Amino acid sequence: MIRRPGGPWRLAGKVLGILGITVRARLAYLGEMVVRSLFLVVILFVFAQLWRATTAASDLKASTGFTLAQLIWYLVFTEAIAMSTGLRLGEVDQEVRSGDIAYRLARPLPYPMFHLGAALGERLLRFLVCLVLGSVVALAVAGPIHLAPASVAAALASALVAFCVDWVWSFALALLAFWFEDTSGVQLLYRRAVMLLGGMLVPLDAYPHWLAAVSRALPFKLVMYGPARLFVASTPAGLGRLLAAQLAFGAVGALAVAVVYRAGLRRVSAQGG
Amino acid sequence: MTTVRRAVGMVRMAAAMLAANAQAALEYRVAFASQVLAMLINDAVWLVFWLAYFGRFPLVHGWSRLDVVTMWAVVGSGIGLGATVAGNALRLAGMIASGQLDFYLAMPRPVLPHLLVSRMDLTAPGDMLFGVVVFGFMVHPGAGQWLLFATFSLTTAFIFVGFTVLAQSLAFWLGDAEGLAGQLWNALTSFSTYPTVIFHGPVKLLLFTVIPAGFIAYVPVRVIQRFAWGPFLAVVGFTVLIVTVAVAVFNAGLRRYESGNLLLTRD
Repeated sequence: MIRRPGGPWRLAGKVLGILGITVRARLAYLGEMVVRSLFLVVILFVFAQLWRATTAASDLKASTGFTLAQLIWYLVFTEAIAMSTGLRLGEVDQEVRSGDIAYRLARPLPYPMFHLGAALGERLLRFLVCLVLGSVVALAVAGPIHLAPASVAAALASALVAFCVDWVWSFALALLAFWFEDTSGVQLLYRRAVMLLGGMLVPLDAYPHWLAAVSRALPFKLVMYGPARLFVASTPAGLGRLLAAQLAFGAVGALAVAVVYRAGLRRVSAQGG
Repeated sequence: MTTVRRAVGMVRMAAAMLAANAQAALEYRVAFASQVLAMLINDAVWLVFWLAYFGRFPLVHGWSRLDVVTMWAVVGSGIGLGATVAGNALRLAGMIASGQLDFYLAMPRPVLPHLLVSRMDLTAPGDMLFGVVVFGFMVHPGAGQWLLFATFSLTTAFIFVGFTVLAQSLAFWLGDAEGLAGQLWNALTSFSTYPTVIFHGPVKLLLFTVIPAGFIAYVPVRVIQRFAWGPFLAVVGFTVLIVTVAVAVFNAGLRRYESGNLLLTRD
């Protein structure tokens, strides 16, 4: 007999348990994680050079509202968010394709909740590694900036919510594996939307007016631009509005997951083996 | 004569494998089409970013929007061509570490070319398509520029494959070199897709030697816009050099290769 998942608190405890196990498992390969994060060094270096070259011909502060150092530190935070995106979503594809999902479904934890715990565990660890590594590089290429403790705390809190929101939408897309052979293409498009319209490489303030207007009207900014802007801001003003918008975007995503998951489950046929 | 015959044989093998790989990909045509389309859109998003950037800051050290568009066209079509024909290049380190070369050692064809062309990167045709479309529609080239574009797509493909073979061959000496080779590949593609003029001093030297992004991006862009024999021949010469070194390093590494007694078939 399949055991019931239990109430919400028990469920949350199980998700945290999976999160903790994932963190401990990944800590065993911390060195490898650091090596894989070295790409961040290249990106930060390249952008430091790009912004420097741009500064020679334009007044950055007047055009974007950010100093050169602030732009680099902003990029540290957005890249840490971007590079911490786990590779686990390919697992959903694989589990659906191979039929392994049948084993997962029999566990006393809803399938999406298992993936939520594992993805958050991996993401938090990767994010911290990237943030530390990126901060070292930013100190070297741009020097220190004044980081207000309240703003940093607000940025970290909103980043945590952003991870959940980002996971919800990514997972909803990954569940399309019930219908398609491979969802990596759709995932790539979602990532690129977050990259461009979320202000990963440059703040939305640095875009031409038409693109800035489009980006501000769409929710992708809640994943990158919102938290990263708080990180370099002098005060945490706007945190409440950001969190409310993130939660609303996340709620719609959770609804999408519920609908797609229920419909997808109807297509699963386990035949033993 | 023997060298020419061997070269013709290799080209025939590459063409036959490419046709076989394409047929295999077309068995799952919806998945294949979606991956090509996704890569096309991925590249287009990058281009939109650069157009937006140059919309706000018109010149970066003398480089304009047209330079960046040309750079992305050449890099996209060249790397796309390389990964379409020699898709196994990016998997080499893993194959070496897990003893998967045995299959190719037993075959009569030269190991490295046979190994490289045995797989097609299914997203790579999207890069190639992107490069050709962008060059045609945004650069508005003449016949001579099309010829240069085709030539540089070919040299970029060879440089990309040569560099990847060199990086992945580190696995012969280091064992698990997948992470390091991946990072080197990331560095090459990153430095190749940003205006080379923003780099100076030792970094610029690095971009014309260890991470040859300069020969993939900077020189081709300059030559396509204003032809000069010197830089053109420099790109061709470097292409020959890196391919020769890559083959020599792979063959040197192959002498250290130990079979893992792994039973496998071509996948």
